[in-house]
Amino acid sequence: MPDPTTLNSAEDATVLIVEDSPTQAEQLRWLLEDSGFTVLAARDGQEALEIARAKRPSVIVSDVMMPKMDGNELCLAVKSDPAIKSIGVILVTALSSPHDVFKGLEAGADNFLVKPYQEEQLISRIRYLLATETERNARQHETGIEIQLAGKRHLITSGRQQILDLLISTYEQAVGLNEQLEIRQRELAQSNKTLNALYDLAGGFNHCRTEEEVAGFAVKGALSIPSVRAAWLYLRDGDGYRLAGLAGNVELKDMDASSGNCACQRMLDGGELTGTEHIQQCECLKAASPGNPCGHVGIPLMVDGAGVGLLNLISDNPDGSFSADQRRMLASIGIQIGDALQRARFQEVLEEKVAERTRQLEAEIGTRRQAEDAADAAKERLLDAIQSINDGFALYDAADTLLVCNSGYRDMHFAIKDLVVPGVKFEDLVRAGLDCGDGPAVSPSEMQVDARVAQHRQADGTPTILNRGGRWLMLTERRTREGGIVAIETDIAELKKADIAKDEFLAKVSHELRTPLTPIHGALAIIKSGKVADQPEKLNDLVDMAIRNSARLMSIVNDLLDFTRISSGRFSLESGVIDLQSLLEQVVENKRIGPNPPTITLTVTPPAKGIKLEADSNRIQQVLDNLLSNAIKFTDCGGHIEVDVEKRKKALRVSVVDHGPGIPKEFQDRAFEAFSQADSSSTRRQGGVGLGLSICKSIMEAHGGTIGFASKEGEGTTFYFELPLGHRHRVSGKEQQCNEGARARHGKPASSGRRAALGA
Amino acid sequence: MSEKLERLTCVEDDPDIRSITEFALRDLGGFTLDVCASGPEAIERTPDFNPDLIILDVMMPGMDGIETLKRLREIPKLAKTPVVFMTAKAMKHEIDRYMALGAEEVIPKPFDPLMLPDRVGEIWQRATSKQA
Repeated sequence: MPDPTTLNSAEDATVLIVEDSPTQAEQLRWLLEDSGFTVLAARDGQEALEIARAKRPSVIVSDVMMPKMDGNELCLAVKSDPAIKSIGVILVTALSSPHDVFKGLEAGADNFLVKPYQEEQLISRIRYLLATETERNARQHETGIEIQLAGKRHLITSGRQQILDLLISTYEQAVGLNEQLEIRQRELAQSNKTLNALYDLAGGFNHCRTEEEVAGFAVKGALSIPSVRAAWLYLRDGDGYRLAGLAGNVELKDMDASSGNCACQRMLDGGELTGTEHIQQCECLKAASPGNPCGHVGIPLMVDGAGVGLLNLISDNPDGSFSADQRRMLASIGIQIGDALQRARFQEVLEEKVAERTRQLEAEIGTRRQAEDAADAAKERLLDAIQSINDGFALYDAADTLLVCNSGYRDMHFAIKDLVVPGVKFEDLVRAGLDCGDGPAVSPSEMQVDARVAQHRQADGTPTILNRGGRWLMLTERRTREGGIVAIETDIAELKKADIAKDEFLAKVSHELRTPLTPIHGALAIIKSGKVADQPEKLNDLVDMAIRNSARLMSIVNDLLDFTRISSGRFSLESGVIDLQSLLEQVVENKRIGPNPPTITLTVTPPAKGIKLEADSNRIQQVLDNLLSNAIKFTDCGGHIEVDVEKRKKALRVSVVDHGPGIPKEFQDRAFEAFSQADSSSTRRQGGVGLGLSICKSIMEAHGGTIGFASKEGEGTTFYFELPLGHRHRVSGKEQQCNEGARARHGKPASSGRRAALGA
Repeated sequence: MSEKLERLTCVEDDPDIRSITEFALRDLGGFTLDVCASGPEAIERTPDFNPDLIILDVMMPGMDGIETLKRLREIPKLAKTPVVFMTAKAMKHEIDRYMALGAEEVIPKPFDPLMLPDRVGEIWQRATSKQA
């Protein structure tokens, strides 16, 4: 094949273009004229044939598909006309099917050009035809070859050269297509990388929570887009901009407010930057480094239609520019960043609001928790207090359901203790309690239940005394402000006992007072009647009797007074320094007076002689008098009683020893208890209210001393008391009262004798 | 049973009250009176004395009036002899108890010695008419 570059110049060559599209015809004309050809043009085969016959061009370049006469018919007509058959014909075909090729070959076309073609290809074919013109024309027509193809018969009369040309043309076409394919593939790969980068960016923005994160992520992500060398991002900040992110190989001069905005920022401010624009001269780039490219692409970042910033990119091209396609793709980044910024701002506002609300809630929770803690503590304290009281406490709600109660309340419902739990109905408790025998009747009736419930509901705060299961209780029920009922039950067993004891005491006192009153009243009545007026001796006896029993009465009354004082804590001493021995002698002497007195021996052991100590002399006399009276009571006429005084380590002990029947064992523990008498039935040997020893004990305790006894049944009893030596006991300010009592007792004649004895 | 109240037994431990009672019933009332200082003394002497009416104190050492009454009742000839308690223990419930034990009447102390003979006479009359 001759080298096209060595062929004749095209200056004298004329090319006929056959093309029905005027635009394409014009393009071709422009191309061919540019290459130095003279160009003719025809709109269809018919016209072309006429021009060919008239102008005799060197080469016809004909489209195949045309109205009136197509390319193949034109070719056939040219090759059939001996006058013009030497003109080279190039058919421009889409080569859509083999038939087209064979039709062309049948028509005798010299060369083929497959659409789409490269301009150089067309030029080289034309030149080739021109170069081989002589050769072609010298060629004899060879015998046609019949070819069967797809059920159609083709007779190809083309010479070998023609077919070779077709093959070469086809090969060139294939090579050209392959090259284009590779370019497309590269472009596709590039686009793919770009799309992936954009996709990653879009996905990554979802994780950005602040503007700074969005900016940082945007510039890093932009850098992963192919051919992006550097990226930086400005965000509007007041009147100016701040650099929010920078990545890649670029130096930037910080454009502060004083240095003014650079071109891209001015464009954004002016509303000129609506899409991705190439900005030729950027001040900040230029100012920063002479190595920087002079331009960049600016992508506006829009939020709610307002430009809030811009992303600038420079490519790895020397001028930093991007192709139009790339710019289109990059525009989408701007939209993504804008959305992300909006989200971040919203998120920031939201987070701030959430944080603020959280703080408020935490504060509220804190306050509430404090209040709750305080309420809990108060409740605990209240429950503790309720629990700690001895009384039974219960709170029922307005529906009469037990809300809370203490263990005291449960104890007071002992028979149904397990039922008394919060949640139980009052009525059920009453019924269960009556069934367990809490009430007076053996078989409780509904009427009783109703009565108790009615009383409970009245809850007027009136205390009620009731006996529940043998236990005396005082019950008070009151309405609460909420309509519930508070029940307080107090165990009054002790009060009840005291009440009974008081009744017994009164009965006893009444009897003891009546006993001496009987002879007093009797004697006086007889004297007054005048029936013994003439019997002076009898009259005298009766008067003595009245006086004696009056003294007995007085003694009992004094004991009662002493006892009352001791019980009410008003008992006190009138202390002074006393000579115990002489005091005792006096008491003993008094006891020796009277009818049938026993023999009383007072023995004072030598070290105890003449010892003085501090005590209430009247009270000490009272104690010894009492002990002696008791001893006399249990001593038969003519018997012996001994009084011994001895000095012990820190006390003086006075003992009264009798040889009577002794104190029964079962009574010994109670000997000093008030109102106790060995024989509490109606058979006691001697009268008395049973207060004497109890009073003696109190007197000794007030002196800081002790009192006690030793007794053996059938052998006798030794009562003793001990007074501390050198002990200064308390002297209360209530001496006056005590003095009066003492004077009343001891101001009486000593002759009251044994009849004035106190009860044991 | 006699037609008229003549013989009385009185059991009383307090010597002064005993004196008053003796004066009232013997000197003023003119009854034939046997005075006992204790329950055992009464049980020993009363069957022989065989009184028309017995007056008992309640509070006495050793054996009280109630025990004494029970023991006297065990003696056949005294089983129906009217008994009167004369006591300082004369509260309502105590009186009820004595009556339940078969006492004819209770005379509380202190009593009026001048009225005692008539009082005792009335009680005897009532008891006698009841028995008849």
